[in-house]
Amino acid sequence: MSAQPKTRSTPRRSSRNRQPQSRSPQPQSKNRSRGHLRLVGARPGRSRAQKTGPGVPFLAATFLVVAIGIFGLVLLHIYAAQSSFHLRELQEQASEQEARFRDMRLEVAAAESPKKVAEAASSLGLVVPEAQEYIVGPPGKIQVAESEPSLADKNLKALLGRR
Amino acid sequence: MSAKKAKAVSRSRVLVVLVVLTMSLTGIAGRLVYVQALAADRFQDLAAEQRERRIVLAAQRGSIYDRDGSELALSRDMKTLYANPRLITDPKAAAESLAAVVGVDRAELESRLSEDRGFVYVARKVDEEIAEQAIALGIPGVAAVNESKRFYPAGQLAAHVIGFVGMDNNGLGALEERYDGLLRGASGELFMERDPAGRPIPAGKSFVRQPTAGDDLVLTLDREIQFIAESVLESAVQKWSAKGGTIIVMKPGTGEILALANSPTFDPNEVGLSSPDQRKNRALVDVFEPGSANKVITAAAALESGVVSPDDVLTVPDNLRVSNKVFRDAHPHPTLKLSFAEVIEQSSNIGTIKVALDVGKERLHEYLSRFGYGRPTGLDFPGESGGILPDTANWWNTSMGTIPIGQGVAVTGMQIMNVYGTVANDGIAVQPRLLAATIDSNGQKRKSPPAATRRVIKSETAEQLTSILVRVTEGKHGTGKAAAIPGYQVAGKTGTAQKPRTDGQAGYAGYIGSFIGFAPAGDPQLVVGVILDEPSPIWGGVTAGPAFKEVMQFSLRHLGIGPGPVLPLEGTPLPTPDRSGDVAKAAPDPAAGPPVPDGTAD
Repeated sequence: MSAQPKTRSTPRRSSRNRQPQSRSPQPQSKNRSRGHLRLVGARPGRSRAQKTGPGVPFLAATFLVVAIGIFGLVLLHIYAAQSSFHLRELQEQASEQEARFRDMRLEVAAAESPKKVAEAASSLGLVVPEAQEYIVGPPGKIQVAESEPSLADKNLKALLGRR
Repeated sequence: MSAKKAKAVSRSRVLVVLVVLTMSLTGIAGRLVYVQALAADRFQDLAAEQRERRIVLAAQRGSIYDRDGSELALSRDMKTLYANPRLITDPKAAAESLAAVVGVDRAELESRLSEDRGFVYVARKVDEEIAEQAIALGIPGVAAVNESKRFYPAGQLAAHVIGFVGMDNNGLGALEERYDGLLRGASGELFMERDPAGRPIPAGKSFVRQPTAGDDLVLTLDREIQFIAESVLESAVQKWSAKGGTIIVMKPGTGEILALANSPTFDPNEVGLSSPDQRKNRALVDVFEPGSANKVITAAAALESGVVSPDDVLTVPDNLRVSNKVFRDAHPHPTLKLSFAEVIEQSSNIGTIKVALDVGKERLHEYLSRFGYGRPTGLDFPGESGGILPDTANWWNTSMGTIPIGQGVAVTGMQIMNVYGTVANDGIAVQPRLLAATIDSNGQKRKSPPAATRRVIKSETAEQLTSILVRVTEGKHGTGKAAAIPGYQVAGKTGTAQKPRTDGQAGYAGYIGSFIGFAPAGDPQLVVGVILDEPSPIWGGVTAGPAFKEVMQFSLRHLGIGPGPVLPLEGTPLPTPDRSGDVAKAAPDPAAGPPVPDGTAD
């Protein structure tokens, strides 16, 4: 109780500090003298740190959160940029492959052209047949004889069956 | 300095500073108002111009395929070199270096690089290696960009059907031009914000509107038959020293054109090296007088109107006067007794004219029109001609001598093909077509609607005509024996027609030799027409007949078409020609018409 007059006699102290220090003893004295009176808004059992406002840990935590936020944002931007470059690379690769596919298609089409095929066939000694024979069968119904399926047929059937 | 004076100086200094500050702040404020309010839009636009970039994404031009899916035309990316002349300090040296790499004329390049412009082409659509070499020269302001180029992998194959494109990939000829709207597709757009170095800003605004590729065209052409038609035509033109020619192969039942070859031809990969004459599609653009090939229409009119039947016997002298003109058969002969079928078999002008005089000009004109003379076939091909069919009011006195034998009317190769296609198709004309289907960018295939059809002559008349036309290749005196194919019945007709002069003078000069026919006669599957311009000798049976045989024989084999049923020959041949008649002599008629051919067609 000896601090009470001292507190009041030091007007230069900040109002934030002054308020709890100057008023906190009052309830005790008034409780004694007046019984049930208490300061409106004051809660019993608050710690000193709480009563003195945000301290270093709070500021540190805030700074940490902001720093993490900024760092995360920068990181996201970096990832976005990287992804963008990667996407661009992939798009370029896709274009290149597509162009290559078109080139190859063109090469195949040129190689398949009748003129090229005729030249190749001619160089191999192939000739166009001059005449052809047609075999005209006798009139009547054609009956196809049933035969034992070959081994190849059986294998093919088995293969298709498995699918 | 007294304190009073010092105070006054200090005050004046403060005043000056105040004034300067006030003026500066006023200036800044004014500029701020100007930038932020008065000229805000302009500065926003300038900023956007620096930051934003819109790139037009060119659509891939659709490919063109033959009926089996073989590529006839496709596009691929090439490099286009361009330069900013404002960045080039020594245009002469730059032009010299670049010209050696890209193969462009040095003087022309120097002229371009000296222009006061921000963009000029150095070389368009060059190989990537060449572009890399040019860039490696390190000339400031020279860069490369992708540009699509059209390629025709089979070279000149079907060049007249496919056509070609210009430097900007716009269709300039034939189907490339006709279906340009379908083939070119819709271009897209790439929008992005870029940094001062030109790189895209990752978090910047961007969007892509993908281009829509053009539709692919699937043609009715058969690449192999087209190749054979072109090869045979080239050989025939050389062998018979012709100026040019045309071969067409068609399916009569569907109107599908399997081959359309012209000579001279060109390579659409090197359009710049070709002449307009080489690029002309003679089969559809050029008209000619069909000569004896036209007799099938006269015969159809005569048979269908009951004027004559195949077995009716006619007295046929070797010449006949119509008005002021004496018409002759191709070869002198005594007066013969010929059945009407033999008249066609031997391609007698006089026999045909005699029958046509009984048919009458109105009915003959009606049949010529019904067979499609005087209007395009409906193929919808750029520049297709409709031929010439004069109204009967404009016919000369001699027209009943010329038109029945195919002089005085003019048709395209496609029109005369359609005539024989109609006979082959049981008397029903089918509109010819070249487009089988289109394939859109999603791979959705849309078949072309079936070709329009119309009945021209009765089925019985078509059968009679077919049987008569078989005699042309099989009959004892047939003019088209060279077109006969062992194992098959071939129905067809030779044509040797005089050509009107093209030098502005009246009269005729030169001949068109032709053979148009179909096989197998009992079940017609293919029509082939061969037309040679000024062959030597002139006879269509001799020059065009063998070419017809070669193309038809290959096509039948290639498509796996068998000989089919055998038709009986119409018109019993007479055992011995009656040579007792007189040769008609005619004096010139004062009501003279234009110069007319003397009837040397076969």
